[in-house]
Amino acid sequence: VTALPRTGGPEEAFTAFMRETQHRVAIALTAAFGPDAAAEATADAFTYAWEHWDRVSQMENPAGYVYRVGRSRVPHIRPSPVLPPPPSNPTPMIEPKLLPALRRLSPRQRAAVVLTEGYGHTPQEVADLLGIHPSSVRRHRDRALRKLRVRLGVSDA
Amino acid sequence: MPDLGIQLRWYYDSVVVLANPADVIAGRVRPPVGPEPEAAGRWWRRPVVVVVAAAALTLVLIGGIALLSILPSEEPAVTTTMAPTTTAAPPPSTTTTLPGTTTAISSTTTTSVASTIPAMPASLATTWQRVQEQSALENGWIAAVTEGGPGLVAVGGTGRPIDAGVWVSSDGAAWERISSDAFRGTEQRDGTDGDQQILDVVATSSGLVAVGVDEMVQQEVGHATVWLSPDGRTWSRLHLPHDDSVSPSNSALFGVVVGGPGLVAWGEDGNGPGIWASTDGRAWTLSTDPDLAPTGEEITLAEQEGLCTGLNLMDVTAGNGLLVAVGYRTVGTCEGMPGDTLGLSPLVWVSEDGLAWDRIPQDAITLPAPMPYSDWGFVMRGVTWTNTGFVAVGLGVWVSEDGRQWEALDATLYESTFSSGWAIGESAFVGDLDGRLMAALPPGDVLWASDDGGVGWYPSAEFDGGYLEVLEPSTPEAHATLTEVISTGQALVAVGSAVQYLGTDDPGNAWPCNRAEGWCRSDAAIWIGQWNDD
Repeated sequence: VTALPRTGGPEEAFTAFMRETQHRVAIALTAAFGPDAAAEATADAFTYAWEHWDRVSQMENPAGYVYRVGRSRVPHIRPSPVLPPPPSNPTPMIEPKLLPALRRLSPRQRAAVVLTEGYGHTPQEVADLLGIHPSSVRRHRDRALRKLRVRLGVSDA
Repeated sequence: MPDLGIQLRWYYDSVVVLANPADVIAGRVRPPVGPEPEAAGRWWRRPVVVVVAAAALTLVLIGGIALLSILPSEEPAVTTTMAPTTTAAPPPSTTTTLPGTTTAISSTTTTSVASTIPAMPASLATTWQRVQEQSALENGWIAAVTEGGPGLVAVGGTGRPIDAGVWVSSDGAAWERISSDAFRGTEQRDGTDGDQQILDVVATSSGLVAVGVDEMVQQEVGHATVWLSPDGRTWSRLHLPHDDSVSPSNSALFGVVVGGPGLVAWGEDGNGPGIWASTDGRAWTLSTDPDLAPTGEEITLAEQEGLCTGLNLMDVTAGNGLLVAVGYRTVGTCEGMPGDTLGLSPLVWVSEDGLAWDRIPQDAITLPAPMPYSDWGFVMRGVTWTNTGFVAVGLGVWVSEDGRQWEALDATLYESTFSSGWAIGESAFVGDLDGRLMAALPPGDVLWASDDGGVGWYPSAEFDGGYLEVLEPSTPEAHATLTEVISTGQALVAVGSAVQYLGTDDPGNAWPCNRAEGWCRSDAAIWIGQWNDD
């Protein structure tokens, strides 16, 4: 749960909130729905948050709220690739089987494994963001890891 | 090769797009979009979408608990005629374990959903157990349930093409699927059967009355259809009269209530609301009240903008001698394509006889303060009678003592609760159960409860995860959809469907999942609930 700054004007507080939470929200939406849809949904959600900042700023878990708003926007956004190829330059060392393997995961499994394994967030932090129970986060992450191990042919994924 | 976490971070860092806070504050990013418009296509298929929609309420837990205690102690007269079932019903000896078991699993069913939602009072939580899976329930979905016949009667659909589905149970645990020629779809032009589904059922003193649609897909024709049964086992079918002048044979029934002259069935006829009334369930009269269509002024105003307007009837209830119907009006482009709905407003109609309807003036319905997804307006999707007044839910919660003046409740108390309320085109469930309101708005994933008349809501059960964690840890994905909850006086009975992910190889008798790859199957599902403070 993000602690909001209690000093300064609303623009300052919102900017701090967005800098603190946007990456997490964007990664969660990107993992679930792809970068194009997530970019629009994230922008929509934070726009909404700013337009209703008086109320959102008083919420206990504003980042989770913004994620829910963003998630609700996705059905209205045109379909886009969930896992497009990464930019070729610079070329990261990414296992060629990784993207096909990620494609086999459910959106929630992808979000759980990316946020926990990729970005080091705790299950509680991810649970606060996604609005689910920490045990559900662990379950989705564990299932995702099992699938990835099988698809990637490794034992220590 | 770097470890998996680093690879994930590399990939997502390379594709994620972030907005500049200054641009957001200055309004330089795209504005919020509106609610999803009504789906195009065969309009009478919407209930199917509701039933099989993936996201939703995954309640549930350990199957196999005997549920004999959920029904009233009086044995229905026809109980003895029920044939023994070969399904895997739990042994009667476990009947007495229900209270203790529900207590034991309460922690897995009542997790909070978002911290902005009012915390659930522990003493008011419900716990749920899924009735053990059994062959009679495979490959189907349940749209409604009522007490009647041998004990409980559930209705819905089965298979592909869709046949009407009826299940009966004397104890809530063992279910039998009823076979009848009345459940097969009408023959189409190529000789194959069309689709049928039953969407609601009520019990009357003379038997059961079920309603739904009989659809010839190839001809794009649908008939509003009624099924009648004296005992839940033998069924007959009849098509209701429709208005050929509007749209020949395009009609469907979504619900039926006891009220007015006896029975009132509602759905769509042509392109607008259709309401039929009956004294006996056999002879039905279609309401031709002009209040069920847009007014000339509404049509004219829309046409002046190059737009069209339409009315949508979503739910009907009876209480205090009055019938109350709710829905919403849309204004949008005349093609009706997704993304074209530009305005929404809640609607209420009242009637005493089911045939003459008064549409409540718009200024008699207050609107909530703006909330997420309300950019395009507000909708009512479900209504119920609570003995002290009517309550409607949708994108907003409204209360009315007389059905004619409606007050929107303070949105700050429920805007997160009903965040899926914007999803127009799907009916919501709302009901007064043992003095408490319960509601589920598809495609939400929470069953909500309120013990103060709809002012404050708390999550009675979260449907995500419990099923998988407890029952089928090896199943990759599963979802459940809740369609109705009733109270027998001794327990809550919830019905719907559970969707299972079957893998990437087509197993037959399945449909592509709402995901990139894979196949899914829907099974009819029943859950038994208890209030923890009972």
